[in-house]
Amino acid sequence: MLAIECINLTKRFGGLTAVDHINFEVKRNEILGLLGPNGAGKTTIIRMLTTVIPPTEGTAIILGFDVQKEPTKVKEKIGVMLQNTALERFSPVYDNLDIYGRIHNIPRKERKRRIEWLLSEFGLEEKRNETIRLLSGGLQKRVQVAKAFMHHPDILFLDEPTLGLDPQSRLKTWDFIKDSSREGQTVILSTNYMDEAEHLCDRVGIIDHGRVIALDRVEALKDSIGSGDIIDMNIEGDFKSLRSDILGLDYVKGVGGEASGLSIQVKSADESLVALSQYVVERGGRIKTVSVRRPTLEDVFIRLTGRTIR
Amino acid sequence: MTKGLASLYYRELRVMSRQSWATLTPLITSLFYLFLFGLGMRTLIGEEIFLEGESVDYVLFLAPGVIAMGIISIAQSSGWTLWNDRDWGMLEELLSCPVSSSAYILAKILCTLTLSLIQAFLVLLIGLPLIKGGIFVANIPLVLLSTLLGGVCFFSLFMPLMSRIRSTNLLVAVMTLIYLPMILCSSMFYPLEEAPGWFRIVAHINPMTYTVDILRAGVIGAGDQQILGEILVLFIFTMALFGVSVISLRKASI
Repeated sequence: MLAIECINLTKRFGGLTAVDHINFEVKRNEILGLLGPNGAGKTTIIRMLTTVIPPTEGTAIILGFDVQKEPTKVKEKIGVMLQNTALERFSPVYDNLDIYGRIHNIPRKERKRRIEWLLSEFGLEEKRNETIRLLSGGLQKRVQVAKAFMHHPDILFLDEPTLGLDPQSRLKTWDFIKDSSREGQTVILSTNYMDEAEHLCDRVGIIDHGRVIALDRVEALKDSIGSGDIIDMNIEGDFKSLRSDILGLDYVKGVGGEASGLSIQVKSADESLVALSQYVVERGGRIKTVSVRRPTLEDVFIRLTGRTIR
Repeated sequence: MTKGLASLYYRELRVMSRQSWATLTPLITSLFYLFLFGLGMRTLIGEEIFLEGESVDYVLFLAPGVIAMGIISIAQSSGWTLWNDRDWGMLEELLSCPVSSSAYILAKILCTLTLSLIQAFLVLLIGLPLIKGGIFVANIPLVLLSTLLGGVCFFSLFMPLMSRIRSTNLLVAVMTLIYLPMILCSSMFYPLEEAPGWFRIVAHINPMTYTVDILRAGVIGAGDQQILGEILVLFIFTMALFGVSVISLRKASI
């Protein structure tokens, strides 16, 4: 049985189509990343899959249950960590974890054990009795993430779980996500961090303007824009006019670019770096820095959408 | 329908217990009204007023009204916890948990009723002996019934507003607009027999009047003859408003 099946899933808010007839499947035990810029529709997809808002059109099947017809059955199978911090602000850290555990019917002994373990893992032991509203934003986010791992649902939805976390907590969260998958959970992870998607996800769906414009394994997505290298050139002056000229070179496969330079995809950096640099200099470009790298998900995104993710 | 009710009720009580200042305010306000307003008015209008042809101490007459005022304040306060849940993202999270939206509302109502009952009996315990009043033990079920129906009714009245209005300023304005006329255009502060005709009509489409009258029947034994009719009207008000509040939460944008 599939973990998730989206069938023409659509959400409109008035005249705005936030999610536009998306179709995808997620296998059990898989970590699927939803990658896209802010406003792409990732959170709306998660809100529909977790039964918080109903779809305008189409539906989704979660472990055999329709999100519209059997929302209660769906909710028994899932766990959710929302993008925005959802905590009892006038209650202490311990109460927040305990109440969440009770709502998920975790027996008292197990609940206490898990709370102590999570407080320790996320460095919250000394804050256990502190009221949430007195904690910094980063600490509140840690409590929110810890809450997500209080119980063991079949499918865990994490909406930008590491946004606002310090590097140490971020790595800890990654470990928890990987452990969850190892223990048999399916994880849906919404993020706009490329490294997070590359590091954690079995497959990544690239979301833009409410549509899934690509969905595959990370390496397959990278291969989809062709093999080769990326040469990043930081160029002074008006380099934008160079773009079309460079694209015409036979060893160039594609050109993307930021405000401060160009990202040029070539068949081989070893064979084309010197020639390309000379070509730019001859046309009046003043090269400040040059670096060579393998294509990333960001390049895939730029190639598919024509713009950067942020 | 009520899946998760016990854990949600526990949540309400635990969260409320962390804000004891907010929980105690309706009780303190009730006692202030009973002693400051009640005793002050008694000085102005004389020791006793006439209710259905019988003289009653004004503070004793006021006591059921003060309890009803406490009930509506607690209902309003519970309504604010719903607004906070929505504003802080808790509502969205809870609705993705294995609990039903009906259980969510029922838990808030149960919390409202728990606090209302505590408030009602504390006012009676603290207040009445000091003013030489007594309570008709046989009528305690009437105090319980009016507190329960009034609590559900007032919470259900505020809930659709709390689940729909986003602006705090607008919400405070609308709440005040509802709260004040409900208190003033009722039998809370004065007997309706002497009131002008138009006032009595307005008072009789106000559930507060029925809540106060049933409480008054319980506390001082007034209006026993028509009490069954009043209970029925309050029950109908309560059921209608509860239905509206459940539909409203289901349709509310989170």
